[in-house]
Amino acid sequence: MRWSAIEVVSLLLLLFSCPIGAIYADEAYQVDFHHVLLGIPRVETTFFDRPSAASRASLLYTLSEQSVLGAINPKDGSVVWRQQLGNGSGLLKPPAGGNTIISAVNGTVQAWDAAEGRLVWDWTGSEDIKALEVVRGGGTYQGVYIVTQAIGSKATVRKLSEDTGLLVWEHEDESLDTPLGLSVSKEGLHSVALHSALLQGSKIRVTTLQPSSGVSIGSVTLNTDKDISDAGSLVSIESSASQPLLAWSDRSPRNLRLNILGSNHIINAKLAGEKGKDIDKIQIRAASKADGTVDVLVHCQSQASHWAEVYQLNTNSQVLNKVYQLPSLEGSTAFSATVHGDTTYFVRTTEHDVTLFSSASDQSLGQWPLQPKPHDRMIQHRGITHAVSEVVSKGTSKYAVRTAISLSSGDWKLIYNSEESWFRPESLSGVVAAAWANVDGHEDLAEELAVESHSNVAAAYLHRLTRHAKDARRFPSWAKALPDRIVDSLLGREPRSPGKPRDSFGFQKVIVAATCSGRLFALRAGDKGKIIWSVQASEIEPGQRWAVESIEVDKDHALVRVFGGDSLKVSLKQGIIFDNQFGNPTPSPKTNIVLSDTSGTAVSIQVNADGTISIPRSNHLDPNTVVVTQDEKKVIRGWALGDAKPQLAWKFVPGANERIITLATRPANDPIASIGKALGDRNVLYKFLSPNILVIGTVTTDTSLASFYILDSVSGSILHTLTHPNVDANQPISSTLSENWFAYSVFSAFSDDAADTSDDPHASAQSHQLVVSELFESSLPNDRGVLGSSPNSSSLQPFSVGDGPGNSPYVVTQTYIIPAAISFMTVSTTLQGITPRSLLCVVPSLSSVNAIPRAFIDPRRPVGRDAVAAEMEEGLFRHNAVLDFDPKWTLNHMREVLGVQKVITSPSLLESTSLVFAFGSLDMFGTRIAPIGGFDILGKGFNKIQLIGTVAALAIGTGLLAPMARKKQTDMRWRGI
Amino acid sequence: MTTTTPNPSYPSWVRELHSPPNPKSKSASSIRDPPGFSASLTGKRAQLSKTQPHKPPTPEETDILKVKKSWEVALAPAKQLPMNAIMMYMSGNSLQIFSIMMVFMLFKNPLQALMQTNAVFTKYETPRTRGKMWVVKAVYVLMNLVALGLGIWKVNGMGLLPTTRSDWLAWESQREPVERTVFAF
Repeated sequence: MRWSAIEVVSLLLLLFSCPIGAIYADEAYQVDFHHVLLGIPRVETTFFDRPSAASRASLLYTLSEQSVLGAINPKDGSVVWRQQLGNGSGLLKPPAGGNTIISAVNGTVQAWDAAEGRLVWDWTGSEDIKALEVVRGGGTYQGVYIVTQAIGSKATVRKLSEDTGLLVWEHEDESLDTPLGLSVSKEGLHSVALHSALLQGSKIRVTTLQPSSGVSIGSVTLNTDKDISDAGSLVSIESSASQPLLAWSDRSPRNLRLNILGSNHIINAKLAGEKGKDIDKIQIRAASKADGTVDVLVHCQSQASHWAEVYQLNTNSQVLNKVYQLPSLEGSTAFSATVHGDTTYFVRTTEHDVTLFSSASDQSLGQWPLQPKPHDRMIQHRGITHAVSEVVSKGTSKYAVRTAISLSSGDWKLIYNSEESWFRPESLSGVVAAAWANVDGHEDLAEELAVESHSNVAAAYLHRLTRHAKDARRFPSWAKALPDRIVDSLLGREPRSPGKPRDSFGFQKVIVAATCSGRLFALRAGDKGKIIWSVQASEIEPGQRWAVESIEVDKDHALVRVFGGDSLKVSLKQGIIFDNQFGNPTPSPKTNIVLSDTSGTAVSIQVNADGTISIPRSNHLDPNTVVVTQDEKKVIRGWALGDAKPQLAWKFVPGANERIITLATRPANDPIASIGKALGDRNVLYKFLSPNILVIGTVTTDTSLASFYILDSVSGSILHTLTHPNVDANQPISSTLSENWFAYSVFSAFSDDAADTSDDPHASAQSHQLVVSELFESSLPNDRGVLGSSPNSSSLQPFSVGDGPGNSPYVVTQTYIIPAAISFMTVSTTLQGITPRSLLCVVPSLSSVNAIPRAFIDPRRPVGRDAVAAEMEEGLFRHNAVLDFDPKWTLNHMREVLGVQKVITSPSLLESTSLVFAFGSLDMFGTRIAPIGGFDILGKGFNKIQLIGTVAALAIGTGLLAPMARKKQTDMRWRGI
Repeated sequence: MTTTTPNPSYPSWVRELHSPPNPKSKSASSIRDPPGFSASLTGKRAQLSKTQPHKPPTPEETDILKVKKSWEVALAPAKQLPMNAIMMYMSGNSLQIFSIMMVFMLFKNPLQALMQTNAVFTKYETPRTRGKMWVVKAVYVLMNLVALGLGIWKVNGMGLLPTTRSDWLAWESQREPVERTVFAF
């Protein structure tokens, strides 16, 4: 008997319990960081409001450019709640005394609990929503009004119940006008549309509907001449309170035109302007008061300066009077208008101060110079895009102003009077590429040691002496910090030494990342993801994305490659950009790769968009190198390099209805600790380890068949194929390859409908599946396959013995049903690859990043029977078709990680631990994981004080007892007691 | 203490140092017989044993005795084998402090015994028995080797002997591929 029952039970307990990738409550929020982002706030959908009529404090709401609806606590900038809505620009209406905040994105209207962010109701139509208006406070007007329009069809006005979201009525417009907005006044519901007349340009048509029934009660067409050409030339529709207002300007713009909705009278006002300055753009801020007057602020922008003109509109007499003009200032500014009591306040925010005016006079009620906080190289304070303010009057002449400023970088900050309350790095949302970098110079020491080992004894000794002398200079500061460090270490605190934190475990790596808006920034992973620097690296046009292909880290700089062949370098410590290079425009390059030739010099090879490669004419490239490319039609080609032109070695052309969904290659850093797998009976299954393996996943559009090909990318031969019937190609398909195994996930049926329906009714049922395959040299233990003990392997001259099959792997595959789709997967990386890798998965439906331990997805788990003792010794246990995501596998703990698309990993200096960074369209999340537990580091539970206390108590005890014992012994001798 | 001292000028321990109490005699004759004990009976027996003296063994007998005795010594390890085997079987194959200690003893004892083979048998060795002694020694060595074999069996059971492929896996090297692929997707 080799195994006793107790041992088996204890092993099982060990397997099913703690050490596998668990995150303990005391480590969550300590070792990880999470940047909770909302995206760049948009001016129309950002406002302060109280979440309900009863609440005293207001929240800051925004619906960002990334379509994230969020509520922010204005005191500290923390996110109270947030919801990710679809894609596209949305509309948002404040609670305004109610309890719900109503959003409209694409075709969906949703009402959210303003305080907690719960969904109250939603309504979904098939057409895009163009305008949204909400009326609260009872009466027949109460309701949510929307205008929807599909492309090329008539617009429809709908009224939804404000409480339930049920449709009350709908009214289809009779013409094909483009809807612009909705507004409610005493007369009724006004639907504003752009009517394109054939010859005279566009006109604005205002249709008035009965709010209770949706019956049209009138229509007015405004004679706008040539002022308006498209929807963008309308300045604004101010729908606040009783008098909705339509504002636009002529093209120059010199004249402001206003219309009170429902009337056909156009009020014209000539803008005073500033001498010698052309107005580029105007913006309107308006607020209406109970007495029927509307205060209008016209924000005029010229090339380098800006000013504002304040008008008062009497809605009864339709007369516009200019009240005052604010002087022109250089730089960028933002105005915001708020009504508090019966006064309208205008807040002017510039880069240097915040000034408060009332609508009555241009005497400032308060001015607060800004005291910018030092954010190192993080913020460009210049450039204000927009601002929203909240004014509180304390007594007669004391005011407090809170202003949320959106900077042109995209960042967001709140100024309370003159102090900065918080800063949100919203410009960092939308990361497209990221890379790990090491800036703490472990390599320096390694290099110096290498110098010593290579030079002669005397020189090495001298080198060593100088090195130690250099080290000795750091001794005073080291000794000074020593007591603090000891205390910190005893109390289990993070080291608080100023400047560079100590990094004995390699946790302090830096992440360099690029956003789609053209920014580059660096985070320190070990320091709660603190942003070290952030720079605008590339000017990106609105609506465009910065197509960063990869970031490669060298010693002290990072090379950012952009699709198309452009590249730039950025220094890791300061974020200084240098060496901007632009790609050769012909013949449409896709990217560049740099190879070193036989003499060791770097040769740049251009990869073209059509899948060909261009190499320099004279080169000494290794003829045994194959470059694999993919063209726009997804054809994959292998090019054999030689002295002359590259030769097409092979081509992978998917079938007529087949398209390539996913590709997986082994990671660049994929250390192999052992070339075989020791079995329970101590035999060895040899791993099929080839760095040239390529996994290609394809889906056919007509038969919904997913195929995964394992390719030898040197010869182009297919080593193994796996197929799945009835695959939903709209569900995410992801794959990864590491060491000698690969994994992918598909949404598919287990077997083909036609073949298997009679046997098993569930066979055709689709499910999310995780498939894991492991490649071995041979199915027999202790067998290294056909190549035997040959030290080399070649795909082109496979082997010289016999006529057996080529060097093809033995593949073991296992399928697991998983509860949710995996959109991206990768593996953890450790320094030497001894620790079994965890499979890291992004699960969008759970907003989480999960780490599945390798033991659970081992393809060799016995199926249909319990594991025998030898298998148990190997750590295998009975296969279960359903693999539920254990909550302990969720790396983000209880937090929601929104918009994560990719995960990158990096080894730390500890073999047990791998660093993980997840990024994507919104959030960033970083942590470190120990796939089989932190076996080489003391955990938080290790009590140093207790240990030292015990030793000290023992020492004291011994010291006290020693004389007593000696006395007793003497007594015994003398007295014979 | 001072009350019992006749001479108060010396402490008691000084006197005790100078005139220690009489040591108790070790000889049995100095002890008085207990009451009712007749010394004659023992005297008779003593006389009896004296009157019939043991006949000294002849050198041949001694040699036979010595050889017999040496066989006992030679076979002693074999007698321990079943017990050791049961103990080893019971202790299991896991690496624990007890099984390690037992295995250590299992190796230490036979090895020690083998080293002292000649020393163990010197007292039985006479010029006449020398001829027969080598067989005894050979058996003794054999028995100890069997005990050692038991230890090796045990160590093998525990998986400590590098007898399988996996034990030499670390010395096998990965195959170097001749061709290299650069992926440029």
